[in-house]
Amino acid sequence: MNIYNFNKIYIEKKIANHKNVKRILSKINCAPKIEYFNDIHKIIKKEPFVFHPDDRSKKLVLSCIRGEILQKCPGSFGHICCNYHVINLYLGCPLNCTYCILQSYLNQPFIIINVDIEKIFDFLKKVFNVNKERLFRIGTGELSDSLVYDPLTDFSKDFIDFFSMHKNTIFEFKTKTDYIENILEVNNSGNNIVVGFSVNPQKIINTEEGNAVSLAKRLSAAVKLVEKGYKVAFHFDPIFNINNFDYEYKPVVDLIFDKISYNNIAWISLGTFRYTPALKNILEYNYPDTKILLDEFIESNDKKYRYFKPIRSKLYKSIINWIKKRSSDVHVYLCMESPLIWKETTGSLPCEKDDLFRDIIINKKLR
Amino acid sequence: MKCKIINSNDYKNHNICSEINKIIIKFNIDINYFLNLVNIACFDDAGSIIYIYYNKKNIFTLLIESKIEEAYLFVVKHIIGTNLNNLSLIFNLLKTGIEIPLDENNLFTLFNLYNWPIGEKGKEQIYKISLFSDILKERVFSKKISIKEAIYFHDYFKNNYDKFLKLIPDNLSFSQNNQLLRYVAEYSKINGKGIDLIIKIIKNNKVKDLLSYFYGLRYPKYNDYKEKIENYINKLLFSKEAKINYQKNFESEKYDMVINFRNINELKNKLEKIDRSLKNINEKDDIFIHKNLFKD
Repeated sequence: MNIYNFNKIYIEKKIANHKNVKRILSKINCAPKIEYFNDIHKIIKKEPFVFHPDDRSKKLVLSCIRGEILQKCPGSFGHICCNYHVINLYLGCPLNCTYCILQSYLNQPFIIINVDIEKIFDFLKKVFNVNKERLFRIGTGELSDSLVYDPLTDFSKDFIDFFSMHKNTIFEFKTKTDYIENILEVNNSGNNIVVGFSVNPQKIINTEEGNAVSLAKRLSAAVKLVEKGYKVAFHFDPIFNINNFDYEYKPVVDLIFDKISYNNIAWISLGTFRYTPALKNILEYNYPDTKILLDEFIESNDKKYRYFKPIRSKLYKSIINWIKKRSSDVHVYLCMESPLIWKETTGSLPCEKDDLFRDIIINKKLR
Repeated sequence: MKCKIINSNDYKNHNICSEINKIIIKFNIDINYFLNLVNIACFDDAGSIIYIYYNKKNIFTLLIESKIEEAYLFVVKHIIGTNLNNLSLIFNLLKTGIEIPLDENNLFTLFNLYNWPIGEKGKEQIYKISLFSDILKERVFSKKISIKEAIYFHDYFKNNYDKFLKLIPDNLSFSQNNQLLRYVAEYSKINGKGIDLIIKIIKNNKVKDLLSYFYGLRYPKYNDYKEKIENYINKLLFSKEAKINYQKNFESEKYDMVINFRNINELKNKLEKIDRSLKNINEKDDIFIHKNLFKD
């Protein structure tokens, strides 16, 4: 599927002549209908509501950034948060992953690209300058894939240029693509730019990550980035409790370490599949044949459903064990997990042993 | 919308007329006898008058001066009404809307009137309900089972499930019925067991509490550990003196003990009994510790 095959593009009148709008339009090869608007809410009302990511990503909205520019990842009640800050550059994702929370989290039947990124940088500059002692961990991969629209926007170049100048930040592009051409073109002088790849066994990618690129392509992109001097990260998230778990997941860990030296890996995060009741509803509607819900999920204290604790714990322990066998120095953290699971699977809480996460999580001063 | 009363005449019936007649009779809609006095008509595509409701006894006809789409919405809004509690009637009205067929705008306006999901999802829901067996339809319309769970159950078992539905006791609540259908369908999906085998399991094991039984089958690990900790708590032999609560999702290793007492003496006695009972524990492992509880 061509994820840039839009059948309609809405452009906010205010930014109709913005250079980024012109650039994006020049790179779209199909011939979509173009309409201009003043009020995005009118578009939301006007467009028929669609649920499936493939349908939602056929329409594109180019607009001004709205709301808070820098948001703290909401985390989850009773679970340890990794203090990630997010910038919502794109809203919506065409990668069509069955398990994606955006299906229930976003309510607009189209993709939004926030075009006026200079506003983002102006705002961030002030924040970073006022909080020079603080280390910020920031990413754009919360409400979309960080790089999925980069071939249209080239925004990654601007982000690298900007964040390289702000040493009290660690900026992460989080992706399931291999769209790294722009990143490779930039002269990486910052050492604080990380490209994080979500990984899963190819078997899962085939069935649950419809339009994402293969594991091999993701790893090959990671290798190229390392060669160019970037740090990379890997996110085993979501991890699924599948048959032959060891047989499917261990080779992914091994492949990573076979191809990339541990000292080029900024961190590895782990998170087992979890869902809200709202996601379950829409997931069953969009993907009636998926089997990912057919396991022993129990309601956690934050009202999300997670694998029953002993199952989850076993999955984490296995992957951590494989990682630690390859490198005991790489930073491993769990995403949205309880202190009990942290203790059981890693032996400690994140701020007890790991300097990097102590700094990030409790906002300590930079070393 | 313009309407006028005209004399009834030898007009043709719209092909949806019999459906509307059936709905009006089946659901006893004509509570104010209006429809015992007048037929309802509108214009067809060629501009001729055509009945959408017809009773040969009626001398007069209410002519809605528009085409069928607007006329049907008018009948639904102003004659049948939108404040309905009867799911079966709502379903029939919406299904008729699809059969007319109303264009998308009018159809979704109709869906909106009855708080039905808008868009393709709403259309699919009507189509799927129309495929249900009569028993499943009846349980949905009588609000014993939710539409969502009925669709999930039907989608998996197709049409072979009436024998199972008949085994469900009447006294289950709405949410218990939904849970049961969900557990059975998911258990069946996970283990590749058809509905006939499910019925056999129920009969062979003389299952009385279907809900607990299928919960246990659907969540075997959870059920085993729950049983393990409850047996352990029971072995502590002070259930009369104190109640131990554990977190049902096992996400924490913290436990509560609740002791009811009226005076210090009673409290002392209870604590002594609890102390004695704790000293007499023969279990090798402390099952309150998750490492021991979850040991295979």
